[in-house]
Amino acid sequence: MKPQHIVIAALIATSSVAVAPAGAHHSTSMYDRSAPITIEAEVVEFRWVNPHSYLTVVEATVAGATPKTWSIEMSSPGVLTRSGWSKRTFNPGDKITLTFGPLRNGDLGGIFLQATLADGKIMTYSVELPTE
Amino acid sequence: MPASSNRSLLVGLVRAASVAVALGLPFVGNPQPATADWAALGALPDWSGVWVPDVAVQRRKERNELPPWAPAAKAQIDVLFAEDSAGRPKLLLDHCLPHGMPSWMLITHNAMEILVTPGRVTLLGEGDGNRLRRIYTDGRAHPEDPDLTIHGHSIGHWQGDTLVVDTVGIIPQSYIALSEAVGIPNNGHLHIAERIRLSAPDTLIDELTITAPQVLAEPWTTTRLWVRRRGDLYDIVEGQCVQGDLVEAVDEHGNAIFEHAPPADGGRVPLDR
Repeated sequence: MKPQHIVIAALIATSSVAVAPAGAHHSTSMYDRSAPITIEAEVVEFRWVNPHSYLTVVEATVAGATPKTWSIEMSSPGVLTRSGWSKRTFNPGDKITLTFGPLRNGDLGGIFLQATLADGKIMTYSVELPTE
Repeated sequence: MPASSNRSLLVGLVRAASVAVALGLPFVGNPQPATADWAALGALPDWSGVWVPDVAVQRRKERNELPPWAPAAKAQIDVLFAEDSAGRPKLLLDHCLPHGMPSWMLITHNAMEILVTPGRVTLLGEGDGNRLRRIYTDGRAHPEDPDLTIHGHSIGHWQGDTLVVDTVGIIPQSYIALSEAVGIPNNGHLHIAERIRLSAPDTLIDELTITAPQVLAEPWTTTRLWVRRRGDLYDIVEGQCVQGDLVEAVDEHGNAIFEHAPPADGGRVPLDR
């Protein structure tokens, strides 16, 4: 499933519990890492699934505005585990500060760059080897 | 038994198999190993642990070490590079099939482990559900008319501490990929020769010579590195690609089942799932 489909599926699903598919291996150049967006957000769902895990969040907005729901893609559980993540890294209801590279086409999706958890812990990952 | 004797024994067993074939005796693969066959493995290099691809090297070579593409293939590759740079990547691997050969060795971001057993070297990859290479080292030849598969038919033998692998029988659809967005199907008659060895105590180097007459002007030799990690943090994680396109549900009996994810457009299931 293509990233655009992921976003659409996530939007369809977020009225209840999100059920967006994670999609297959693919390039991430449809995301613009050079123009990152940082938002205050609440976790709706964290799908710890291959080949790409993803996070569905609702952006905190000013009163009266329609809240935006974003679908944020990341690497696989194998790669994320080696970066210190687990399936419990994010839980529904968690308040986080999230930075991501947005989809270039303007849909509400992005590639994960960094998150700051409520306890101040910063989550990142890399597919490149950590230096030892 | 000293290591050198073990190695001689192993080489001798492979030679015995070859001699049997030369004498016209039927060669039977997967022979029952003797205790000595298991002991002889101790003389081979230690490839245990988890091997993580050096993605930084992959990315450097993606742009700086290009295959000798045939002109028609080069024209397609140039477009794919341009499209990827413009943020419109072609999704080469969005079908959830294994990366296949040679792309697994060239571009994967996921780790693998290597099992060395009598008559076999087995590469077990992370992801795709069935990312697996069986390299037969029992002295057999390639089948005369192999069924084509994503990983092909591999035979190998040890030259000192180097595993020499020869692979044929790969489906024409399998990509020669430089990234998940840039690559071209081999289109048939693909042959891959590999020399795999430790280039440092915890670094595995795979030198591949790829012959693909439909898309390469001449054979392409390139290398990729894998770095060893130990410790359970690096355990291989089961990764079933297609699971990402399914959702957990409960049927009318209360059974835990998978269902296809709801179509993105509210209509039929997308073609790319």
